[in-house]
Amino acid sequence: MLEMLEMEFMQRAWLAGLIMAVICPLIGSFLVLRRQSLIGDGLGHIAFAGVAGGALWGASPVLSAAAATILGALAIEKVRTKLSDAADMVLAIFFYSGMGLAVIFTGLNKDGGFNLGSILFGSLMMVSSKDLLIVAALGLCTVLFVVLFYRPLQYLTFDEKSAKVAGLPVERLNLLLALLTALTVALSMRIVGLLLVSAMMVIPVACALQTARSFRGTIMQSMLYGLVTVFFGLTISYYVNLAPGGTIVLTGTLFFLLSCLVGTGRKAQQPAPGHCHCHICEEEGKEHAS
Amino acid sequence: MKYSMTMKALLLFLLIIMNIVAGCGGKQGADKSKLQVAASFYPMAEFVQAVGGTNVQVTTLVPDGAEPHDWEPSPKDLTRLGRAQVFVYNGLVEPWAEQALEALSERKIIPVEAGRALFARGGKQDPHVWVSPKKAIVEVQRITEALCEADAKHVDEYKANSRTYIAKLEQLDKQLTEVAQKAPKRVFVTAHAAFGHLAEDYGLRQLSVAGISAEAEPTPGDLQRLITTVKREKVRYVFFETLTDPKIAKLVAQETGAQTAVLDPLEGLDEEGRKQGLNYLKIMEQNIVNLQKALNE
Repeated sequence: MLEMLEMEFMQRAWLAGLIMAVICPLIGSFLVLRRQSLIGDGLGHIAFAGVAGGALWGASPVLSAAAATILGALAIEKVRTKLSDAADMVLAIFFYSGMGLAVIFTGLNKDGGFNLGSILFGSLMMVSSKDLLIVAALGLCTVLFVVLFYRPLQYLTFDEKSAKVAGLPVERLNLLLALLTALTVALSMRIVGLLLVSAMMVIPVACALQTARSFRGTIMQSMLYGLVTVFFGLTISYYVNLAPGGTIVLTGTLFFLLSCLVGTGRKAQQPAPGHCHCHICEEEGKEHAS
Repeated sequence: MKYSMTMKALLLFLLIIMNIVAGCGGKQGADKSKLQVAASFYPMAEFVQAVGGTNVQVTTLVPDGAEPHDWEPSPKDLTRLGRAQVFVYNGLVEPWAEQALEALSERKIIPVEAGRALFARGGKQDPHVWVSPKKAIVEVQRITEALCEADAKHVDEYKANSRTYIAKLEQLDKQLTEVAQKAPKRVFVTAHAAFGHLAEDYGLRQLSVAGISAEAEPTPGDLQRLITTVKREKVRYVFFETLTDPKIAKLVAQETGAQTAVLDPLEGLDEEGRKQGLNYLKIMEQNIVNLQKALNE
């Protein structure tokens, strides 16, 4: 058998990595198009506070990270709807508060007990069978959520105000999306680490935006880019002995550069866009207020 | 459907790479007829090899020249560990061992913590038991027991090899006892406190610049106290070791007019040492010679 997959812990890491490779861009597609690319980063820092706090009480890192990110995501969502003009500022404040808490908790923790490096940068050997089960369940939930609520989510993504007027349960959908984002961040930390989780939500989507020609296409392609990125990232990191998180992210960046080359080549052939620069609107035939 | 071309190209690329990667998997070099043993770092590997002889194949996880205290296994190292039937480690020096064994829990590896229950020294846990021949003998005995248990076919050979090797360790023990008894001084100075067990077992006293962990930087106050003691006790040699920075040992030597010399804590063996045919026994002999000089002058 392939040396890389000979050991069970690597098989677990691969499975978890591939599931993550699909769900991160799936959630990320909505986030990026709603200009919330950095929300994963904010939640990642909050998750760090959760892990550091959890270590103080002796809680499992995945559970405490999940608890912290869920609370964080709900709070961000709440404040975001109140201060919708300053969403980035709100996010920044959460970001720093998370980091601040994490620093304090880490300082309070005198007897160590958790491996900071593996939390921040990921550690393949830490994926337990239980982690894998949770990741798989989350993956299933995420895919189901998107499939079931595809139309409303699409509407919400491009025009939240009209969606509300049209009578969609916007708040509940937003909350669900925030919840899934939070869980995805918490569960992906084993593979790429908390500091880089967000990259998996953004970079594959950025790639897909260069080459895809519809919203549906963007989502599908972003998952494909995610899979390819994780595949190469994990393979290279194993055989060249590099940190997996960093290798995965840089592989993603490479794909982004490639997709830019391919993408701009195609754009030149396109007829000049109409009132909206977003080619997604053209394909889906939707009005898009830009 | 313009994008489908890109996607097809991507998929093709993926397939090609998968084939290349699959081709790399063949070389494993494990001799199935031998007992596969993984050892954490150099002295453990040497002890296993000495007892196991030609019936075992030993993999050392911490590479030559790396400081075992800061090393962490990569997934590739864990794969090597996962192929072993027995894993020999000292204990305390390898904080990653427990987690690694947990990650490989499906593999039924027999763990051997060779230094267990030997670490306590003056109210502290000091992992450097292998530099004291008395404790090294205990470690070798435990390794022997584990190998006999894992591979019942070769018990007689393991026991015979073990006796031969322990006889050599006892020789070191005798030399060291003699040196310690005859020497006029009882104090020696080291860069990092790796020789506490040796000092305790042979009635000596170790003064060290850094603590038991190799990285901790001494405060100026620590240094001043050390320099005063070195002067008072008329210590002529300050020892540093091969794997860590000799800067501070050199500073102390300069301040006190002492010379520097090497006392090797045997945390690894570099390429050069291997080429010169050095091993645990030879390095320990050299250590005893250097120690004798320091205690007599």
